[in-house]
Amino acid sequence: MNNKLNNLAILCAKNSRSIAYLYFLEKEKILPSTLILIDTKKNYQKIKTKKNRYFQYNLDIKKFAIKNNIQLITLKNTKINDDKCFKAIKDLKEKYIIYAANYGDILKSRFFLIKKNFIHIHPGKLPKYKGSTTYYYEILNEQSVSFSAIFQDKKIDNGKVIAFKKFNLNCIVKSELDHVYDPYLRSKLLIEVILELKKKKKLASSPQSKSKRNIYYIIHPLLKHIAILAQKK
Amino acid sequence: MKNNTYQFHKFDVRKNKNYYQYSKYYGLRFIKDYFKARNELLKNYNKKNLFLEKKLINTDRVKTLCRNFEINKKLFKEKTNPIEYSLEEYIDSSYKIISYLFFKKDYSILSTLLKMNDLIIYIYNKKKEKKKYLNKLKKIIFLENTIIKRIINEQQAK
Repeated sequence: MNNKLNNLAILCAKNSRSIAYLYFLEKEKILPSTLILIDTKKNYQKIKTKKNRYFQYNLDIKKFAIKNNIQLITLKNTKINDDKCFKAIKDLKEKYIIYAANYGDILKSRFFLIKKNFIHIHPGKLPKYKGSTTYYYEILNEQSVSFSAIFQDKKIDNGKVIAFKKFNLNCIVKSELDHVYDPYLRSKLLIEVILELKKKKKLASSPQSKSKRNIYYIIHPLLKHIAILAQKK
Repeated sequence: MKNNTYQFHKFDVRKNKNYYQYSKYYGLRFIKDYFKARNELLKNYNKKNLFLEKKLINTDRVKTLCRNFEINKKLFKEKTNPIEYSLEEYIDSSYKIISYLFFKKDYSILSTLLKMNDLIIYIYNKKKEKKKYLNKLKKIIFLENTIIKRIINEQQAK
């Protein structure tokens, strides 16, 4: 049986988010037909994927593509905004692209002129929580953790919203948010979105409201600790 | 004896822009170590006559200040004049942010304040002539401490 979606590709790097996404896409039998792997050495000492009970932390992306008969495009020593990467994406036949590139990589505006839809899972409910490490801020403010699925556009965290999911804090080990629950919870929402795409062949979305547009910067470690240790109900 | 896990005032954030990213989790010990590190500066601090003036607060100014600090990891005197703030100017800015935070809870601004104060302590420790800054520095650290204690209490962090 063909588990692949002809209209879906994934843009990956060797990071925990990509690994979790691929693991759950395979599990749900909703695989992309093309996988672009940005195979660049970066300093990921602080963000190694941890062994966990949710997904195969040591999944080999190249072997995964071969095993599942997915077209693999490997881009060595390339940055996301390089011409080589742009051309590879532009030439894809797929219209929907799951975005799981390297942390901090931001697509330049030309990517949004090529009629591709980049699906990005953002931590935090949009437009209220834009920026970085937003789940810690959300815990401090609202004692919850949320993720939003959006179509990326040229402004950061500004795209149309496809779906939103709020998670119960009781099901989360907060000290493992960065390394385990971030990729795991993103994957849970992504799966819902891709199942919808499989069912309806397209994804509906709505623009973000213009109110409450806060931008959060990387949380100070002291506040991160307070958020993790918070017992407030 | 274990080393203090709170080291963020010991390195120059201006030279490593990813300094605070993916910080390690140490548990409750880290919060205790933060107080220990900050309290070193508060020895013999006389908190008499300490009051905050609400009229000092300009919300937009505080938000712009914080945004600029987060983007550049430092502050400049003017847009067209790329001369970095002096230690005294950083302390004055920190005081403005604290005055805002005393009357409005905003974790984003508080996060920036903590980073700015880490930098202030770093710059202060590098100064040969420390004495003239000490009283003002103690004041902002004491006030920061007060805000953090209030947040810990509210969040029931333990």
